[in-house]
Amino acid sequence: MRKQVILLFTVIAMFGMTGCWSRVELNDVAIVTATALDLADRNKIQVSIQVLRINMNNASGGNATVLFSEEGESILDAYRIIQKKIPRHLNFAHNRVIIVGDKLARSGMSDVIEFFSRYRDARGNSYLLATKGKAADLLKIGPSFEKFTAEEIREEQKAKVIDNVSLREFAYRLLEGGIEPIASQIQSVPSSDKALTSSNNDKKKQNNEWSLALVGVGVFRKDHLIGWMNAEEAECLLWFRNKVKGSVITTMLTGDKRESGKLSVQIMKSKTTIKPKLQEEKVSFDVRVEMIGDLYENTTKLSTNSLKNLETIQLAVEAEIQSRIKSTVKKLQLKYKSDIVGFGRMLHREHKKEWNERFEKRWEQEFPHVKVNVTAHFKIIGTGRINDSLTWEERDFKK
Amino acid sequence: MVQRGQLEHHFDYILSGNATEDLMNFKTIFNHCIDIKYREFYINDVKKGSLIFLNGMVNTKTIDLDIMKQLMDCEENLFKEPELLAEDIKNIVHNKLIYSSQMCWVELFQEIVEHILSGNVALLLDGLKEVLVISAKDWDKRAIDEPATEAVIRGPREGFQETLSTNISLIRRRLKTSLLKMEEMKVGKLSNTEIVITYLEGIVNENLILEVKNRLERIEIDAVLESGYIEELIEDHSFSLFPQVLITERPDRVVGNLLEGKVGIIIDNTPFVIIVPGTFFQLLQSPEDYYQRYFVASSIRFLRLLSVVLSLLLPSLYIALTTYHQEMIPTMLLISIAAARETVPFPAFVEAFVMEVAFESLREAGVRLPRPVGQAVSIVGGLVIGQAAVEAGIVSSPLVIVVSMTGIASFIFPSFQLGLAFRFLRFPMMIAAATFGLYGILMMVLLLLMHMLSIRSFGVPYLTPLAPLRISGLKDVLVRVSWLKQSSNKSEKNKQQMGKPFIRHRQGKYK
Amino acid sequence: MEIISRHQLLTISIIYQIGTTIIFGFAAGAGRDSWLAVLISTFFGTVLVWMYTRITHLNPGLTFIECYPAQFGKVIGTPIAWLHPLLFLYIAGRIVADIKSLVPTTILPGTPPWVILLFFMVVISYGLFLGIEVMGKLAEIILPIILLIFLIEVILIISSGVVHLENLTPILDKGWGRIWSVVWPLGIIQSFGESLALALVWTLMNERARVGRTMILSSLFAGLFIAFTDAMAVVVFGEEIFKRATYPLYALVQAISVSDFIAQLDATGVIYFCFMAFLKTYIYLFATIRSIQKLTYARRSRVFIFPVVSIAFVLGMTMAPNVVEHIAVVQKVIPYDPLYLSLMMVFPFLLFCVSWIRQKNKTQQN
Repeated sequence: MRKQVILLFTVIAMFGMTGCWSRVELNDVAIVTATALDLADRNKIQVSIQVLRINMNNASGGNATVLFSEEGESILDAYRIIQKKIPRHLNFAHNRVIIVGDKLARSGMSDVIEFFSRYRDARGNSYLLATKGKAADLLKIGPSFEKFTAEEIREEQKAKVIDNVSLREFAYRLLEGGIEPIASQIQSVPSSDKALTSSNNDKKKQNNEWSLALVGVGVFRKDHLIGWMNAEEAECLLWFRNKVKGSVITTMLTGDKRESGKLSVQIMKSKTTIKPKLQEEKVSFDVRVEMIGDLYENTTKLSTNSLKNLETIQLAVEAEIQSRIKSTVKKLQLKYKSDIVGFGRMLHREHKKEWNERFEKRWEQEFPHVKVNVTAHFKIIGTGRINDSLTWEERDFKK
Repeated sequence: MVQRGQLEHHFDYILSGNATEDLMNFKTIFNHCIDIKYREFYINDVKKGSLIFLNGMVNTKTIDLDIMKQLMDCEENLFKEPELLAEDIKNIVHNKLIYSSQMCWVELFQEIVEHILSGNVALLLDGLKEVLVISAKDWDKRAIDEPATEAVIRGPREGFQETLSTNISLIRRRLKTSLLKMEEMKVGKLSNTEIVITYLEGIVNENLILEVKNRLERIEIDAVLESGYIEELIEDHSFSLFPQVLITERPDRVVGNLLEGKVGIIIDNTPFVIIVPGTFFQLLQSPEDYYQRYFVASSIRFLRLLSVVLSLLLPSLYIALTTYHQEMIPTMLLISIAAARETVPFPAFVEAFVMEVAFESLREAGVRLPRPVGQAVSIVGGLVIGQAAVEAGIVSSPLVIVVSMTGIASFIFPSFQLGLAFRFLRFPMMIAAATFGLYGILMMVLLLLMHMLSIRSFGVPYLTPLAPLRISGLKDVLVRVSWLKQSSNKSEKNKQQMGKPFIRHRQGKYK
Repeated sequence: MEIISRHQLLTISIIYQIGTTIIFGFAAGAGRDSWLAVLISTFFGTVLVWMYTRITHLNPGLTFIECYPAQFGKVIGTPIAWLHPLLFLYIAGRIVADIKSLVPTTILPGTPPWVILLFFMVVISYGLFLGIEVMGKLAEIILPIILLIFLIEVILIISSGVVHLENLTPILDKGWGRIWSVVWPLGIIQSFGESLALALVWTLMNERARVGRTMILSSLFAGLFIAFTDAMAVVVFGEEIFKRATYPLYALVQAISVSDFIAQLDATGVIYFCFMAFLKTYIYLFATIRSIQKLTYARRSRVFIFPVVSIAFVLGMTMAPNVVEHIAVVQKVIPYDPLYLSLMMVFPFLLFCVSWIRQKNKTQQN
């Protein structure tokens, strides 16, 4: 009988407890889809959030979001001020995109990372992006395909044309020795020529004449943004991380008239290994890139039917890869002095004793001086639907 | 309804041997019983006799041709001899006159009355202190029909009906062995309901039969109208929501369970047979599982397990996710749900609760109402709930999906009783979800599981063979393994006799 | 008398030993080598658990705490024995406090902790009323489900593309120092030393002779499981975040994101934890009640349920004002607390020696 009484008590107690303290009905939720952070005057932080405006009737197309922007002493502070302006409870859990303006990024990202790692609703899976100029402006641009801008940015990030980082990975790179953080660079670009010619900028932005594009990567040293790398270099970084997804390499062939022209290959598979070498006091790295890909475009008059020509093409592409990587690494070493590839981490893994003793503390000074040797291997596995060039040699016409 | 233990039969009469006197006694007993008929007669003008029977429960043709005609047409001088002893009269009647395969001599008044009331004919003869009881039972009964609650696609279409003897024959036809035992008992002081305990000797655990008999004997009730009375009186935990015996209308299912070492209790006047001990997983099985190909049957069993979880948890999960854990819903789905909910004026809990209650009412109304009206109800209900409410913005369409999926899931239960239990449990679950979100659901599930684990049915834990775990038993619970793979060796059988009868032995046991 | 089967003991022990580490992480101080630290702890922990089982084996018919009075004499033994229910009750209170700190901050912000705990305690007392047998069966059902969910979780994490195996290297980066510092004594006490409470369940098992093997099996399994989850967390987060996270394994669930559809399952992580905490609290309270019953020679144990549960509730509510202090106590105070060390290691060791010598003398006399 006792058991039953306890069971009954439970049920009754629960009825009494239906106060639902932490309950938030869906009707009272404002879903935050994207956040933009900028440095405002007097060291304040400007937080702009894109909030979904849910309406049963405009489910089809159109901009379904509203932008709220507010300055505050801290992120949470600004956030609270925004909350006062909105009748609904802000739900941060579906915020997948965080864009940081370069002013804030240059002054230091640690506050941002700190907040988003600590805050209960924030997700480590959110993408972190940087932009030249004001981040809030980007959120004003209306979406062209999806329901809201954040979703478009997310889809673009997922395509992995440009190296991307999640909040978690940014934090990881920040904390881990021997690797520096990066963030994809996002900018607004005109969708077509029309946008450039028309004046009244702000209004046009709504009208799908501007769109958002990933144009490169922001390079950080510790938590400070120190510069940008363009799309081509950013692609190189992807190679280093073995995360290539349909990267295209175009190279010029110069030679006699027959051989000159452009070649485009699409990379199918890429594998990069970095081997640190420690000789006495000197550190050097052997970077070995192995790629296979398809030939997609060929404006030279080389026939792809011949093995010798394929070899020529492969060599040309290899040279291209090699020079791209070399210039990227050189830029990192000389211009930015930031090891975003993670050479230091590789050194740590292979030579933990030396790293802990000598390099860990002064890797920043050491990195610009290490030697990086690059070897590239490229193999064509397919030549598309035709195996000979359609731009015939001149003598063919004479026949 | 009759109250328990208020009235009792008690007769002081003793058969005198004088037909007239005895008949008077019977008439006193059956005073104001218009359905009792008496037929008085003289055999060859000498011997006075009388027939007593219950009109409507006997076959008059049998009485006319096989009893009356024989008595009337007998040889002139059969009873003429003056020095006829009682033994001789009995002998003559028994061996020369009555054409009947079932008859016996009864001395006790009490017994005779019971025989008459159950449709036998009593023959009183002058000079005999015994009454010949002849079976002429025949009354209007339903034809053997397909069971309404346990329809199958493949399998026998016969179902039990209300007559005990027919039901027994349906079982016997499937097990033509002397090992199939049937024992009779009577329960109910006024109803005198016949109950037959049936089991397979050698497979069943002896203690189980003793326990069943014990519990049946302990029953004190005036009348038993349906197997539900017996079920409630013999089950271990009448406080529990869960049915602890298996109720079935299908003879093949009874036989299948007898083969597993269970005991069947057949009750007169009801097509439902009780099988004990009943366990949870057994209630989730359909006899058809054994007739279909076993891969298909196994996947259907998984579907059922899934539907158990769905019917219990789906509405509460909906409440918990939409009001507490919005982050768990994928963004795009959340947007759709939020858009649908935008105009709904109620909290999700109220919305879901009302809809569930509405659904349950519709279902109940559909069962009770006459068939043509029932259809109208379902049309109106479907329109009101499915369309009007959603269009008016009172209820959100995702919730309608949730409620109907729950409804469908709860109809998948092969056992209606179990389905009812889960239907009921859905509501406390929803309250818990509305109060504590997923945490509340977890705690309620723990409470529920602990309760289910503490139940035993006739000594068998309710969740056998899952807990306590017996891997070999799982072969017939989570999946349905082929007959070729179901173990049928001696040790398994011994385990069964420990009171855990779970493996079916339909192959190669008794050669 | 309730009896549980060997399989039930095994499943109870596994869930119990994995316990709350499923959220709090284990040996996070060892950074990326934590899995190694766990394996080493498991080895020593298993030896310790084996010693416990030998003690009950050498004193047949007695529960663990009854061995103290039996071997050391009433004057010394009884006070030592009485320390056990107090310790168990304290640890139970700590787990309740875990719930108090985790559930409101993660899945139910705004709900007063006492209500959450009250519900928790009601469910536990119902379990205590039903007895250990029901709990054995519950563990038997739940363990496969837990393992299955864990497997799914691992698969989801892998398919989320956040696994970087190279995060585990370099092994032994900072040498053995930090590994030993987490192994001794915390690593051994946590999970394995705490199996002391299970000792009160052992006498209820139907095959007493196989308790030792069962416990060793469960310790090894739990150890491997914890090592695997730790390695998983390192692989996903890298050393630095792993060390900094309050609930590293909770964050692990958060990392799941399969094509942005199955994502943010953190609430399920908490649910996972709540169940583990439920069983662990249950065992502690059961051990408390049973030891009090044995020590007071009470015939019925049910009278103790309500007071013991209430004390655990109050303890949990008042244990620590914030989660930092709460966790700091685990890492800094408990491992060096003389009561812990003596009850889990010193006294059992002495008890083992005494019992063993007595047993030897007895056989020699015979």
